[in-house]
Order: sequence, then C-alpha cells, then structure tokens
Amino acid sequence: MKKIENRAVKSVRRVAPLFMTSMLAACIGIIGDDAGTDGPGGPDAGTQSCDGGVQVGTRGMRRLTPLQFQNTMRELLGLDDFVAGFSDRELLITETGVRQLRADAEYAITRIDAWKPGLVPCDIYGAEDDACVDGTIEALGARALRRPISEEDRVWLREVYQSARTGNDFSAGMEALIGTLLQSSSFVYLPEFGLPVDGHDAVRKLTDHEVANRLSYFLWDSMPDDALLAAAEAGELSSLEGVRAQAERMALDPRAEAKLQSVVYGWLEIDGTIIHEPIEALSRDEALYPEFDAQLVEDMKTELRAFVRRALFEDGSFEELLTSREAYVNKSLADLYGVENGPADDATWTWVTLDAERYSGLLTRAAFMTVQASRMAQSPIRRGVWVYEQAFCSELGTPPPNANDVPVDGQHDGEQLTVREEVEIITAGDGCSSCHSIINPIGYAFEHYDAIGRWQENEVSSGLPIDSAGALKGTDVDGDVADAVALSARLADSGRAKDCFAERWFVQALGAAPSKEDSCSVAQAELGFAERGDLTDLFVAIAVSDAFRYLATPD
Amino acid sequence: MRTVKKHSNRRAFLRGMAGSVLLLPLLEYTHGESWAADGTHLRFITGFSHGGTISNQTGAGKDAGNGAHHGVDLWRPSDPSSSVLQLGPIHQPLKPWEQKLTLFESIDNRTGKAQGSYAGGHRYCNSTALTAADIVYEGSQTEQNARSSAPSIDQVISAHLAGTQSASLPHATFRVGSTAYGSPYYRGAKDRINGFDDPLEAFNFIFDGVSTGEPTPEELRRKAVRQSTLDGLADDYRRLRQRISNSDRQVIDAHLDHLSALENQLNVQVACTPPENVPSNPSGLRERADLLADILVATIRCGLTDVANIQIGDVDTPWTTHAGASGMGVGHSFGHMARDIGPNGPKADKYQAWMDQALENRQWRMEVFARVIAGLDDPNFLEGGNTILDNSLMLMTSEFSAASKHSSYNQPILLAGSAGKQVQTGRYVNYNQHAVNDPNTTQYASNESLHNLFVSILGLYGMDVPHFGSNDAAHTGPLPNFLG
Repeated sequence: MKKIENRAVKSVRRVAPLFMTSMLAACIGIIGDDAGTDGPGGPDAGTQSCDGGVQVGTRGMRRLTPLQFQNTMRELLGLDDFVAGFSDRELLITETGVRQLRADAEYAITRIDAWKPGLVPCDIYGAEDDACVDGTIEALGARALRRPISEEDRVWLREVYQSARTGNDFSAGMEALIGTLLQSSSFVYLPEFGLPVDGHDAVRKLTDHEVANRLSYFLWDSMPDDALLAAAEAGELSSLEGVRAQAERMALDPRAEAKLQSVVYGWLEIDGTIIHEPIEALSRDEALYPEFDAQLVEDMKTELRAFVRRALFEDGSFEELLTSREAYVNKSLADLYGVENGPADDATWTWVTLDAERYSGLLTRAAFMTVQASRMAQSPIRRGVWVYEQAFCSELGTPPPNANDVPVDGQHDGEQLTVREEVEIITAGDGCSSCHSIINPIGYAFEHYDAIGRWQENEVSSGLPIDSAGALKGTDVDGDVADAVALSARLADSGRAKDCFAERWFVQALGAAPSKEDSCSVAQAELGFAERGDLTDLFVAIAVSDAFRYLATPD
Repeated sequence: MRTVKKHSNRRAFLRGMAGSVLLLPLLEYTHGESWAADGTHLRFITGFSHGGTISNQTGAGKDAGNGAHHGVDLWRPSDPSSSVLQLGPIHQPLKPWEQKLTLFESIDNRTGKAQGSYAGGHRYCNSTALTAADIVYEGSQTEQNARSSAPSIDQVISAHLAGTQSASLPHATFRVGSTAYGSPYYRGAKDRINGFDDPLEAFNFIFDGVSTGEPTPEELRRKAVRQSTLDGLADDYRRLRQRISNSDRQVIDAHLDHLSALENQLNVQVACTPPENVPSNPSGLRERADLLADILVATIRCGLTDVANIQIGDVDTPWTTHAGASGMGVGHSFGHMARDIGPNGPKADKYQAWMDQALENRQWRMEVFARVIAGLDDPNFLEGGNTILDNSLMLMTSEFSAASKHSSYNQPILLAGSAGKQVQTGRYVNYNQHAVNDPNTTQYASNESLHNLFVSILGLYGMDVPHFGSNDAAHTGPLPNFLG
C-alpha cells in the first residue's frame, strides 16, 4: 500500500462533473475546438483558487440504496441470506418503498433467533424483561442508528416500547421497538450535521460517526464494522491520519472488491440500461452465434470479475485495466478469444495471454463487447457513445427525435452492406453528423469484435471485410487509431479518462456528482491517480479530501 | 375507527373476460352488489400504454404513407367520418364495451412539446402526459433528469375524493413490465409513483388488514404493534425534519406522508374477503399483467380505493404470432423502426412484419385494459343501478401518438365509463380543424390540449377549475363537446 502525499493544488479549472453539462451544445461545440479539449467543463470552465481554506459543495441528504439497505441489514443482524424487498430508487421515497421497509423489518424480526448475539439480550417471546428493553436500545440502537444513542433517543424508544406494551404482551412492545429502529430515519437515511469549524457554520466538519458512515458506504456499500465504529468512538476519524488508516484498511477488505466489481459492472453497463437488457437477458442470432448461450454469458462474467480483480484490486492500475492482455478463460472463452492450447474443458480455468494484435484490456473483452452489440452484429454507435460518455465523461446530450435506435445490421435498401457502411449512410444527415462525427470513428475502432466479442476479419453478419480505422475527437488524446488496441492505449494515456474514472468514484463517495466547490478536492485526488493510476491510492485520496470530510450548510 | 363493509362476488370475478381462466383464486363475495351501492361513489382509473400507438402523426401533419413512414393510424375509429364510435383495429378487444367508450382525437400534449430542446423526448412526455405541468429537474438539466413539477390528474382527483368519499388507500397503481423512461404518475413535484409490478407484493400491501369480519386477537395485536411503530417513526422523522435544510425537508415530508397513508390504512377496517393464493412469481408477462388487472378490479370492488392506475411498459410480447418476425424486439427500437418501413424506406421489406407485430402487441395492451373494464362493468355488481364502470371514468392514453417520431401531437385518448352517466358515451370526437371537410386529411391543426381534457375530467368530479397545468395551452377551460 502506497501512502498518498498531500501535494498542494493551488488552483484548478472548475470541474464540470459527471453528467452536469448541457450536452447537445457540448457535442457540437467540442468539434475542432481546442478549448473544448481542456477536459471536463469545456471552454466555459473557469478557475477556482484552492488557497481559500476548506471548499465543499452542498449536497442533499442521502438515502440508502437498495443494495446498501440489504447489506446493512445483513451486517447489522448477521443474516447473511437476508434478501431485502426494498427496491426504491426514486429521489423521494415512494409509498411502496415505505411499505417495503416495514415488510423487511417485520420479516427480519421473524428471524430474530438467527440474529447476531448481543443485539437483543433476551428472548422477546419469553418472560417480561425490563432490563432487556434498555439493553436492546443500547446494543441494537447504537448499531442501527449508526451514531451514539442520546438521552432523547432513549426516551423516544422507551415510549415506543411502552405504547405497544400497553394492553399487549412483552413481545409486542419489543417488536415495536425493534421495528422502529429498523425503519428509523438514521437507519434508512444518512443525515449529516457536522460541527462548526472555528465557530463558523457555513462549512462544517463531519463528526467521527458521520465520517465512519461515509467511509463504509463509499467503500463497502454497507454499515461501519466494529473497528470503524471503535475508531469513531475513539475520536480517531477527526484526523486525516485516522481517516487514512481506516480507508487503507477498508480498501483491502473483500467488501471493497465487491463494491469495485459492482461499480465496474455499472460502468460497463453489463446489467443493462434503458436501451439494452442485462447481459443475461440478451439473445443472439442462432445461426451467426451458435455458441452463445446462458453458460457462455456466465463464463464472460466470470472472466470479467477475475480480470477486474487482477487489474485493479491486486496491485494493478488504470493502465493495466485498459491494456492488460491477461485473460482468465475456460475452453469456451479460449475458443472465443482464439487461444491455442487453452483449457480442455469448461470446468478448467486458467490465466492466458491474449494476442497482442487483437486484444488490449477491458474494452476488448467479451462481456463488454457483447452488451454493446445487437442481436445480429456489433454496434459501433453504442460502443462509440460509451467510450465518449463513460470513459471520457463527455456527454453527447439527448438524441434528436428523429434518432433511430433500430439495430444496424447492414441490410439497407435491398443491399447488403457492412455495419459500418450502413452507419455512415444513416447518420449522414445534418441533424446527426455533429455528434456522429465523434461517435462513429470511436466505435469503428471496435469493428473487429462481433456481437459476442469474437475477433472477425470478415464481418460475421455480412461476410464483408472489416475496416477498423477510427479516430478520437474532442478528447485530450485526439487522433487516428487503427483499431481498439490502439484506442485502448490512447485511453490509458488520457488524463481526461483518468479524471473521469476518478470522478466516478467521487460520485460513489459523496452520493452525488461533485460540484464546482469540490474542485480542489477532486483535483487533488486526480493528481495522484493521474500519476500512478492506483485505485487504492484513489480511494484514500478521496477519503481524506475536504469534500469527503466536510459539508456545506445550504441554508 | 370506522368499519366499512365491502363485498364482491367470487364467481363473477373468476369468470373474467372471453371465458379466459383467471389465475387468481379470489374473493369470497357475500352478495351481488358492490359495497358502494348507493351509486354516488365515483372512481377514476387510468391505463397508460408506454411507447405510443400505431399512428401516422408526424408533428404538425400526418404522414401520407408514400415515403419512409408507414402512414397508418390504427388507433382511429374504423369510420372517422361518423361521430358514432366504431372502434378501429387496436381497440377490437374493447368491442363489447364500444357503447361505453368515447374516443377523442387531436388533443395535443402542448406542455410536452414545449419542453426540452425538441418537442417530444420520452421523459418530457412521460412527465407531462398526465400532469400537463412544467418540467423540473433532479440535478442537471438533461432529459434523463426531467420530472414533473406537479401531481398527475389521478392524484389530484384522489386528493379531492378523499374529502368526500371514504377509502383506505389514496390510490392503487400497478406496473406491467419495465417503464424505462419513467412513470407518468406523480404525487407532487419530483415525487414519482411507479406502482406495484409484483402481484404478490401488490396483494400483500393492498389487502393488508382486510378481513372477512371482526379482527382476531392476533390481528389486533399486530395492529397495536404497527400503530406504535408508526407513531414512533412519525416522532423520529418529525424530529429530524426540524434539523435539516429546506431542500431535505421535501424528502422527509414525502416519507411522513407515506407513514400517514399507512396509518390511514391501518385504521380503516375493511371487511371484504381478500384474494387467496396469489402466486409469488408469475411465470410470464401476460400472467403478471392479468393478475395485476384482477387485483386492480378487486381493490376497487372491495372499496379500498377510488383511484387506480395500470401502466404497461413498452414491452415485448413474445407469445404473439408475429413476434420476432421483423427481427426487432417490440419496444423502443421497434417503435422507431416505423420510420423506415414505408414504401420508400430503407427497411420497406419489413413493413408487413412490423405492422402485424405492432398490432398484436397493442391489441394485447387493450386486452389488459379490457380485463379491467370487464371487471368494473360486471352487471352483478350494481350500485344505484349502474355498474362500477358507469360510475367511473377510465382514461387510456400514452406519452406519444407516433413513437417513431416522438410525436406528442394528437395524443391517443380513449375514455371508458361515464363518471355517473355524466359523459355521453359511444362517441368519436375529432378536434382537428382540417378534418371538418375531410376526416382523412393529412393536414392537422388543433387548439385542444391535455390541459383542456384534464379540466373537463376534473369537472366530472366536482372540481370546477378554469385551468389545469402549465401555461402552454391554447385556451383555458374544458374541451368543447366533452360531455356530448
């Protein structure tokens, strides 16, 4: 583990963080515009001094995501198989979401016998035990609320117990008490109040427990563990060193890898978007892709997980992620990648080195190429859009109403064309070309990978020769590229791509895109990541940033 | 606590439409009248079919069908020259209720048109199709973040009816399939309602606490636990509310409102034998849709709510005869493909496959709505001499006319029922000014928009408002000739 150095960042251009620019204009403006290649924010980005003390943007109160809620229930109660019904992702919780929270709490109580010992120090269905009420408030309460129990909390929870107990048995009171904790505002949301800094209220420093919560949901998507809570209770998270130590510890935990895998899956759109299904639900033309089945999809996902683990979690780097030729394959995947002397069967997995002329890093792997394709053929448009928007954090904006997302298969006006040729025709109009002059040349670099990520010299769907000559425009690494191997190398060298990747993790850390007031924090973290591309370093740099440890009071 | 006895009829419910087998072994109904037997109880229902319809609307005109587009409108009546409604191809599953329907043509979503960089993004139109309200954004001003700034018409009616009619739930909203571009239902600004997509979850939540008679001791105990829990949560969330910023208060206010809704449900004792044996994991979309439609009907028949919604995503129908024939999955891409299948389009060879598949898909959606209508129009459940459908209004619509063009002109608007015989049904009304002399004209001009439709509908429920929604309407007030 490398230590992050605190390098001074005197001033930064203002970031236009992920998904924050108005995009149709940006798409048009970036073409041939040198100012637009400065990075996220484009030509209008100003500069922000980093010498003026703590700078941090305002953010709304966060609610646990469904995954975080499920993980928290599991961690808190020790129910490793708990499957939450809570699925609400709306900004404002829905009535269904509130009902789901109640149902989940009530279900968890039915399994109280399997909970971690000590949370509820008695049999709630046994004899009345007044001490157990207080014991539960202290033990379960402090863990569920993820902060110290106050006297006001004790009175409140005592009243809940007593209200249900009146006219009913002991267990009724205990069920109400426990159910209230598991649906309480501190359990479901992440309220943060901080403490004034030097008597000033506009920017507040998070309390130790608030930092602990931020760390655990950033790195684990779950609640703090005992060690983190102990550090918070000991006041260790008030210092940079204390936060750094916990972040370094947590980054090595398997829960951090689970988070990493989850974020990369989302980044690559493996679990689907509004325009394509999750990889498990995709279908392929049986005549063109007879080997494509559910098992091959599972194999692709296995390889992706192993690759991400090795490239990012086990002493890897951003460059490694984009350029490594190492692949974890069984027989089916070895065949798909054209590996000679690979495993003899699908039950046998091994690491191999793929052909340097054909494969380079994450973006040339089967899982990613498959989700960015259609039933019949590869999709240069979707692949190009992904690289531009997701790897460079440059948005293209909303497609115009005449945009047509019908998959391109090369059959056009009775002629059999290559996919590339048809894409050229259908995106040549005035309303299309401004964005597609960026999108298409990026996507063409991936033309050698068919709809399941197999290398194709001649297009599987048309039989016609592949042309993978492409280009990058509107980036910091513009220029022609011969194919995806060259494009991946260019991406690995791109400062903007690294900044984009780093900002993606800021979103995870803050629960929202960083704002311009967070620019100095973002720039500080990006600086180290740009130099070494080490993900653990990035995690720690984010955790010790002002944006992470402070909050701004909106009113 | 007030107790409301509500009844339904098992045999009638199980009969379903067209002799199909309902998969929900439901309700032991006690007699042949629905619970609100005096006939003064009004309901409002919506059926929202995502992804538009089969339309030739292109914006301020209609495609003639001699270019790249198919140029056909299968939502229209079979005889658009007649004011007597004669249902067209898409609506054939609704034929048995033709005389209880009203089809309005040439009503625009003027708010949807006015939003964004062009007229008709999915999220802009989904957010305005039932609200006619201005757009606000969750975060940056991109279509992805577009939300309504105001409640949808169903929620406005729900809030109004809550003051005059008793129901334990403000609404029951259901969702069939993925609605990738967002739900059209809003409780308030940015407060979107998606609805239940799992029949068992829907049943468990909606029929929670519904019993055949007096509550058992165990039910009373559970109610006490829940009441204390809700009280404790309300205290907790109110305390938090006092400490947070104004912007965060909207978040906690929504949570408190929903806790209040749960408390209301807890304190309205409904006697109506609930459905039984709802399957936990329906095997397919069709079965799921049928179950949700049946639960919707049961919810209304039991008097649990007066407002219900069912939305159907822009989904594939793999069981239909022509599914896959075009090489496209039904859905967003399939809708767009209509642009290319005309006689001069690049995919002209796929015209027939597209039309067949699209028609079957849209007819299936009408079958789902027909299932709701059949349940409400059952003559065994009369109230004041009317069926429940007669005392209801069901609005069937979409966010677009032609999805291929993202056109929010000429929204598909079909009404079922008459809200207590207030609306003369069996009619077809076309507001296209050019259609006076030629009902099949491809010219288009209309002064009517969703604003006017919603003002008209609100009037049926006793809300005499001059205007509803944004300032984008051509004129205030109700639609001309709305009541007939």
